[in-house]
Amino acid sequence: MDLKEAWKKLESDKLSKPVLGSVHIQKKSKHPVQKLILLFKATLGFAIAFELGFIYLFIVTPQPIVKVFMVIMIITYAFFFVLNYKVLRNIQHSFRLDLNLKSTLKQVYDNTMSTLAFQRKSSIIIYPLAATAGFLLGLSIEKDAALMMQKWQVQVALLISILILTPASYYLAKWMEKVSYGKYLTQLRDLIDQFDKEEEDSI
Amino acid sequence: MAHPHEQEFTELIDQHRGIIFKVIRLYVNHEEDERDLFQEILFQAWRSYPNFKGQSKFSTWLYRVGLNTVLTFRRRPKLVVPHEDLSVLKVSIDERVQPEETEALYIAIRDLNELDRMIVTLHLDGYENEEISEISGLTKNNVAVKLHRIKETLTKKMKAY
Repeated sequence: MDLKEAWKKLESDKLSKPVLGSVHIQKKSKHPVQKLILLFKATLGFAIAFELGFIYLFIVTPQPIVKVFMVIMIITYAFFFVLNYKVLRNIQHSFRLDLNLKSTLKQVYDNTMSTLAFQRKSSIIIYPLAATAGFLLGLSIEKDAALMMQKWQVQVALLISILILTPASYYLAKWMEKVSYGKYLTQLRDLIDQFDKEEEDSI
Repeated sequence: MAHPHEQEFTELIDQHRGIIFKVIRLYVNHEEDERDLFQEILFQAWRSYPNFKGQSKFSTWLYRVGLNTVLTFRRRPKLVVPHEDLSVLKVSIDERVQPEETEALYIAIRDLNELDRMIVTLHLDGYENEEISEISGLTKNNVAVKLHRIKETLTKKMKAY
């Protein structure tokens, strides 16, 4: 019996055996890319919550210097919301399992990696601004923040806060990124590597 | 409320569910995983269905979705076919006086890595190298080279059983 003959027999004997389960479309998926899509949606949700918080603080705070920093935070979060939304749309659009698998996975992987890398780099500028905004907000509860900032002791305290909070927030975000996205990105990378390896082996 | 195309999609799946069964039987061993994968393939097919414009046969399209889903989904440790299971099967085959060639082919295919399994099953199902290349992402030449090697391996293994 040749391969094709054996295959035909195998198909009718064994491979056509039904799998238990009804043809009912569930709206949940365990696919790694689907999980990445969910994470991006969660990020957008958090961005909206923070944005609303900053808008609220902008409205309730009477001090102009605090308002300025709240505006900076509102603009920053709006920018990252748009960025993440675009990436989400892009992934949703490009992730199709009826197309070439390797290029689909590569597109999703590259897109996610470049966005996360950009966010990580940008955070080095954003964290000091966020720390300053928080510091000024704290000062404004009891005193005039602008007036307080003229004291050298307060300026040193702000500088120390920035020096501690910026790297701490950076590494915390990096760790959180690894915990949430890491597993799924590793799965995608492994698959892409396997395709590359198979291609190299055949040359 | 049901989607307007849901009924049409469900009917098509019902007609071609054998393709999904085949993909699952080739990649998964455990009942729970079979059910999970069946649902996952349905989900992915449903997601991609609006893009199905009928350029290819529905069966070809569904085959591609099924294989692509199983290849990317297999990373969960419990979905990987434990090698011991294959050994058990092999022993049971070896114990028979005259092992069936189809069973031997099944074991030999299951012993291949996932990508090779995909290539050879598409080939045995009558797909041209160009189509296999398009589905797998490998170049046409690579597909031809790999197919040659895989067929040699399978024939050797079948003879050995």
